Amino acid sequence: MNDRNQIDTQALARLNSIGGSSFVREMIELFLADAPKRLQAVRDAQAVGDLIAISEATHALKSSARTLGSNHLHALASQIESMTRFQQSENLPALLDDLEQACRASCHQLEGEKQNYPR
Amino acid sequence: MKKIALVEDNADNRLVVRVILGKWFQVTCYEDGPQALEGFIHNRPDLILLDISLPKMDGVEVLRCVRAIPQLRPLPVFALTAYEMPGDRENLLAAGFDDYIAKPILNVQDFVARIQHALENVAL
Repeated sequence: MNDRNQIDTQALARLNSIGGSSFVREMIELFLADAPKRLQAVRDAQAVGDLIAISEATHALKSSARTLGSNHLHALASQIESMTRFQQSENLPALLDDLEQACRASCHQLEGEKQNYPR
Repeated sequence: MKKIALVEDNADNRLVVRVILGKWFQVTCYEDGPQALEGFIHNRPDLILLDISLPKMDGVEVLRCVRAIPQLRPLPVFALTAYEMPGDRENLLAAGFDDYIAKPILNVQDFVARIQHALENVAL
């Protein structure tokens, strides 16, 4: 796995300090449930060339990614949101492929991190 | 216990705010603007945390409605948003929000302090 896709476990530790282990686990489970839907919304918007819808879907993914320490995913979502909000689409297909890869990598890692945060 | 209303469509953000503020405040969550406006009338909060990117009505539209309803008009309303491009903060404050909190909430103490400060100012 590419290093830039590594989850920042300090972010999970910070959540743990706020609400404890079961809270972190619930946050991870919410991300694992929501991220694929957000990604699908991005792809659906791409299929019809709707840049505003891409911006909205990446916006939703962005803060969740940062909360859970998926910093590369956050950076990509932020870049795509900024571009599409202003109707810019240069290199967008490649960026969306990167976004999908980063999202899948984050989900895979967070699935593994769940064991560190029992209910 | 003071009442905080949170209008936020993302479940993970609702959970974070509930966990952070639940120790000090009674937090009521709404997932969209129309649901929130109806709730504010029946269960008037002391302060509103309002996401901007919401389904049905965006946060700025919800704020306009709050300011147009006499019994809600004086309430402090904070923008709670992941919009963080240059100018976003200034634009939201110019639209009438009392404060701007960037998501994700990285400084919990500052977040709580700003809410407490706003509530104290309303009480004066």
